[in-house]
Amino acid sequence: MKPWNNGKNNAKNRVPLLIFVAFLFLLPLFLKNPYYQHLFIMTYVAAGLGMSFNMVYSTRLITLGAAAFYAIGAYSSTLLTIKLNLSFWLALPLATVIAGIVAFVVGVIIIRTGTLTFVIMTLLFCLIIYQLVGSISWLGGWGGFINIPRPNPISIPYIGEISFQSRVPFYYLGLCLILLVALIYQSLYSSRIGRAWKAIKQSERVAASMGINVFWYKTLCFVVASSASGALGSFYAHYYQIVIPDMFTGFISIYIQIYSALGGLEYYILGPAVGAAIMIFVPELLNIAQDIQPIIFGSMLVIIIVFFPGGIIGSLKKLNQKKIGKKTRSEENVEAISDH
Amino acid sequence: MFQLFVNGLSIGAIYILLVFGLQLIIRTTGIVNFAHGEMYVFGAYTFWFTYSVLDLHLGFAVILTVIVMAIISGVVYRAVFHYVQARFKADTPLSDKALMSAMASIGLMMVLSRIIVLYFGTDQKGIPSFLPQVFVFSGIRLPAERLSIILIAVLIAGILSFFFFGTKLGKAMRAVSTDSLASKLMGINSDRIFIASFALGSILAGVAGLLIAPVFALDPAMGTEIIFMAMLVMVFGGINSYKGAVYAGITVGLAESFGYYFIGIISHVLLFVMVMVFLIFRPGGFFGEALE
Repeated sequence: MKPWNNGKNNAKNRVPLLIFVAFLFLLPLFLKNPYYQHLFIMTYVAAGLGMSFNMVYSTRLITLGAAAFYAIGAYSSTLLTIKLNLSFWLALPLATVIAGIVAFVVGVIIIRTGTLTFVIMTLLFCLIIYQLVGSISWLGGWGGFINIPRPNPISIPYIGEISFQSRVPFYYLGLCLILLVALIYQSLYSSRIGRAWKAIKQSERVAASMGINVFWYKTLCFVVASSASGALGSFYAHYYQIVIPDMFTGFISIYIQIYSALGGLEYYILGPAVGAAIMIFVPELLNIAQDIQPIIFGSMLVIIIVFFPGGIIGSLKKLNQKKIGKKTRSEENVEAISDH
Repeated sequence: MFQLFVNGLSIGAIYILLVFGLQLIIRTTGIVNFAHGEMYVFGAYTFWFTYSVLDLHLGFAVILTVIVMAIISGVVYRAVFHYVQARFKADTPLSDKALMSAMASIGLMMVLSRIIVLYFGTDQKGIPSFLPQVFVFSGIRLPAERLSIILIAVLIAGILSFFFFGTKLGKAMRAVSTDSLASKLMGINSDRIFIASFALGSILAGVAGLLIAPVFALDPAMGTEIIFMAMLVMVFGGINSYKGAVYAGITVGLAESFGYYFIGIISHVLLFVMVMVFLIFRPGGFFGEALE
């Protein structure tokens, strides 16, 4: 319920997290199998997209258009590098900005129309982007682009020159990107802006009466989340070196929603990371047939939303508290409010 | 040219039937049903099975389709949305209900569409037209089944308005959609009304599928395609306005028919942009008001 502002025991909570991040940094040293490295990179991208979904959810909206901004990031970065011969290191921030601008234009129009319309219109936007890039041949058509250039080699002090020929540099790039996204999100959540979002989530009317401009805060949230999706799309395009419209169907948005819901919608950073890791690794390791995957994931989504709205982390915490036999203060408060 | 007009009207009539179902479910139960398109597919396939495979009489096949739709929707409601509904209180705002039910129904949509693929296969199925006549007025060819779609849709709209204003169940549905807490206090069993309106909405979708079955070949993906257009029509017309749905359905149907003929598949993009520009000036759609 309160991923920010739990002030006093914050430092204590961070230690296991830091150890885990250090573990992730050391992982490629003993995980040499490129297939597993690929799965980890996919997990980072998926976790970033899930975090963006949760960010939009933190103002009580659901975006089903995450795949659209992911696609916009991937395509704009591809076009910038192929048609204008820009370097990847310039194309990544430009793709982020482009996704942000598109999100601003779309968001200003559809946030005003209410929650329900927002959900529908973001999903439609996703499908429209899919059709747009598919049917315009200048944007690659249904065949898309292949042989997207890898990032140029860069030299980092103390480490030497890094050329992006194997999976390992991409692994570190993806990890750094996702940590950057998580850091920016966490600092936003713990700032004045994040508190405004929290207020909006509790009650829009109360927030408005406190002088919070609900519309602009929602728009800001949508723009930030969408531009992060754009950045991840740009990274993914240059890692995979192929973009085709079929990578960005509406189903991707639904999968992103499953990552978030599985981990826990209320846990803005950790929830999607956990959900994405499970959703990427488990089907691959268990070798679930492609045919019945949608049935399993779909029914999983329904069960989580209906019976375990807290997701995995929320359910674990609840179980833990039941064992101790008492409720935290904030939970009592929340219950008091919702009873009222 | 007039043919395009009739085609557009008949597509619009299908959209209107679907949107009526969606709106009925949203307004009464507060559930946004993304799985509505799959109900449409179920209707079309049940009709194909009873009419074309089992070779039953037309009227009997239609009645059987309606019954099967009622059963399927009842099962779906009881299995999923009943529990979603149980999490809501009587005064939960519509936006909260919409968020939760949207997420649940998207999962349901994935499951149902996959079940349809696994059960009926991905190949297209055709139904022999039961109205093969074509009227010719001075060089204009009008296929009878397109006209019959429009007529039947008008008929259904008439029956629905009689149902909502003339019968007790319809009045109870309107009462629940206005204020479910107050109607509960008046002795209306809101649970029964919820399931009845969900079933009625799904039957409307099933009838839409049944009407489209002889015109287009059936394939399992048609549900997801049409639900997004229906959602667009619903947003365009205003979520809480049946009148808006009629105007928006006709507009979008005609625009799609003419647009597809003149500029091809890109017309969908233009249609979306058109609706977006429209939403700048009227956030709530034609007749609706922006919901919180």
